[in-house]
Amino acid sequence: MPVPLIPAGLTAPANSGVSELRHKRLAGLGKTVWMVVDAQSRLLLDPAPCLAELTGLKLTEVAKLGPFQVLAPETVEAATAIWTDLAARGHTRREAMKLKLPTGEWRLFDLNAEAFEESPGRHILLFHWREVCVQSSTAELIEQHREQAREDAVSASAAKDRFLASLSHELRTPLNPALLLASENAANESFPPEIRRDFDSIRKHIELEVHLIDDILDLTRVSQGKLALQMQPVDLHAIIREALTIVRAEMQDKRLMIAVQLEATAHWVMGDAVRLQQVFWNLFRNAAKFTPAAGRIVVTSRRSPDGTRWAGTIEDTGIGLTADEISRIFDAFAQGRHAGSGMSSKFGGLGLGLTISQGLVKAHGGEIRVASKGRDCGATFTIELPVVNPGRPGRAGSHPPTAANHTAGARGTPEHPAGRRVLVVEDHAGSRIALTALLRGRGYEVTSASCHAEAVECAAAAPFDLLISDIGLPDRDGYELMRELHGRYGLPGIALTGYGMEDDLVRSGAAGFSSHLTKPITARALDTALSRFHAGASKTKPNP
Amino acid sequence: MIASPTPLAALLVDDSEDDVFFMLRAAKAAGVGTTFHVARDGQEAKDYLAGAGGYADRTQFPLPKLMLLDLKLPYLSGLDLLEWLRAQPHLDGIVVIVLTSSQAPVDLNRAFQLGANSVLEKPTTPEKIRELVRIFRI
Repeated sequence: MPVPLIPAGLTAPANSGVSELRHKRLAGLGKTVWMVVDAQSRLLLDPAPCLAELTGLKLTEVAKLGPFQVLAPETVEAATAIWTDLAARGHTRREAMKLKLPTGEWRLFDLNAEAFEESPGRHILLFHWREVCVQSSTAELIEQHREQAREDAVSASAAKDRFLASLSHELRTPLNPALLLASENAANESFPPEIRRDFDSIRKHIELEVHLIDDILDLTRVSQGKLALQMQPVDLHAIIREALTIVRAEMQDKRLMIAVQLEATAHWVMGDAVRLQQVFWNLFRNAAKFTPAAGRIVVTSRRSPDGTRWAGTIEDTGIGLTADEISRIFDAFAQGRHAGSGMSSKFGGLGLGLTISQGLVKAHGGEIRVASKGRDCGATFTIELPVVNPGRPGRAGSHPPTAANHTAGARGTPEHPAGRRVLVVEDHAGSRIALTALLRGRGYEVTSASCHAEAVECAAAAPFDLLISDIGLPDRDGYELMRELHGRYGLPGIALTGYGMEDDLVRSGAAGFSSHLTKPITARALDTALSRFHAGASKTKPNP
Repeated sequence: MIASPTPLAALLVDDSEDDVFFMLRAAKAAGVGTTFHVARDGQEAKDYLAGAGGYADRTQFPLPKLMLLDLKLPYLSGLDLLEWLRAQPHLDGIVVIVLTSSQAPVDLNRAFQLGANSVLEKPTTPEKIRELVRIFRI
């Protein structure tokens, strides 16, 4: 019968030697080989019964040995590393450690060791190890470790995603009040034009920063095939016209001639309107960026020869591409030499736009290509996408509403009925103050809270018409708040998030938010969301 | 550049006498062989395009391949005319070039959304007109 051996000279009384903590840990190990070692004396306190089987020694003999003598005197080097880890981190993990048994046989083990404070001042070490496939062939061994490497890579990749999401959040948060205030002041007609121009410049640069952050996030999503596309029939021509308006001012400043000749009769595809617009916007932005003043950008479309695809081209008279640059142009971070060393400040950007565009076009079952006759000979980008229904779902020549049209639809100042009571919940003080000021300026009665608990108190104390809430609150999240307040008072809500992740959109809808703004938000985006809320409220049926 | 053998029809829609004069002169100098019909307001242009009223005779008033359109027009604005035009399936394919002048900024974004093909700043040059004719293969 195995009896824990407590060598003479150890301080702990025999009875309290085996603590509840130790029992719990050992119970969790099941049939693994383990031993308990005193941290100071390094003597074996408690060997597992199967240790005897493994070593071929009697348990009483095992108990007389030091932890590594159990295995073999030859394992000193590994043992030293283990003691170092234990002292520094309190635990260690050694994979596929070759140890010699007293029988003279070498075997492979995965060894784990942890340090515990069993009772005040008394530290024990728990070693447990799993023998790695005693009988296994080298091939099996390699496969086993490859599997482990795969698992590690997957978990590292997940960790990277989480890191990027939180990085994006952290980078965006301080931009939020800045963008809100700058966009509001840029549109404030009571300011002199030069002040408004300055604010507008601030706004533009903040938006640029946000685009860079978005690009990094998009890149990871594209490369991992994690894009959530909202597919619906979309009119590519409407999307192109819309994308063009975003860069037109820049083109005009450079006196670039824009010619648009969209002749494809079949121009409807199944796609995500926002993402497709991003693709064209990217290409237009590049064309504008890399074409010198007084150049020309020609946008055309036609049907592919076999009639199943829509083919569009964007041709510029810009700095063009060398053959070498063409071969790398869709690789991440691979802006051509023209845009890179020495001249990077001239063109800016991370060089992710085309990589992302290519990923997006592929995700739509399409293809993107580039051609150029060389440096300073301009470039032509061609995009092909499969058309839905070579007939046309819409009226010929008309422009049915698309998501792209829809977002740009809100022009002018929306009319807000007075006396709307809004509860603003946001833990970032700068954002909260800016948002409150903007809403008050629009005639809303605003109460603000900085966390879930405070918001619930506010809602219980006074009636509200609308909740505008951040999702990441310090105590509980905004989804929970929305569900509670919607359930209790039927309150509609607008969600604010900093993550910019598609999952957030789905979740905020499910929680009862009627719309969703990704931070940093502009005054215009806020106005659009507010007018949508009022439109929904007046129809009694909230907007989807 | 050699003039096209058969003169092509273009519609110039502008209410400013001076602008019409300079535009026609530049077009003539461009030598593109295009016959310009001039409409002085948006409604007149719409009637011309629709073949309404006195414009029913297409041999005398042929459908244009190109429309040079000033946006600030009496009766019917250039944007309204453009929106109407793009909703007429049988008038598909008319190239619309919006005329602008630096003194009077217009909503070009809206014009592109509604289906404008390009922009030309007034006063323009024969070279610009030739370039446009070449790009749009008019």
